[in-house]
Amino acid sequence: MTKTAFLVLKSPQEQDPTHMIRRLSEKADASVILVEDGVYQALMPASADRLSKATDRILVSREDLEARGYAPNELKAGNAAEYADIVDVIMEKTDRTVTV
Amino acid sequence: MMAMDANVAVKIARAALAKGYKVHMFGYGEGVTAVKKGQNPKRFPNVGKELEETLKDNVAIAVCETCFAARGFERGEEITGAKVGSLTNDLFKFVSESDRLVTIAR
Repeated sequence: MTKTAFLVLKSPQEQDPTHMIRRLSEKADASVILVEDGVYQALMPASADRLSKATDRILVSREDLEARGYAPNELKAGNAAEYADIVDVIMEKTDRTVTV
Repeated sequence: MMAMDANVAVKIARAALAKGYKVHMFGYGEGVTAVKKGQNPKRFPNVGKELEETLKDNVAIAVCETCFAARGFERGEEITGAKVGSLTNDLFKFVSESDRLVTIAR
């Protein structure tokens, strides 16, 4: 199946991205990139749990996380990532990028 | 694309450039405001200046002319080096020349 990077910009209050992720990708083929308010998806327990069930790879923009006053050790899912890591996932580790 | 979205687009573009990738950027809808000359935000990054810096790295930046005009902007109000172009010509060319397409939109 096509390896897909899902770019999530919205908070869990605005959107649950896992419906789209599950529809378009198997868990092993999905990478989720959280930027802007999307980082809250990995901070709130319920949304973090949903994401963890939809994908094995969750990258959280460290810059966007820290800009909102949070630290990487507060993440309930995924790992803090630099934009260079995000580009690697988009360009090298997946075949397409879908913005959710 | 809102101002915050434009900032993310610039960050991704810069990271890609640092890794040696060629980057094209196209703005449409509210995204055209990113190339408005003379932006002067007080409390958040100046995306116009950041795009001007990015242009020095040989990045092609174009925006939709229809969207630009719809917001009351005229040719000449864009930052130096950005092109007021079109979806059908510029975006089509960018997409056809690219290995990956990343959309930053809400």
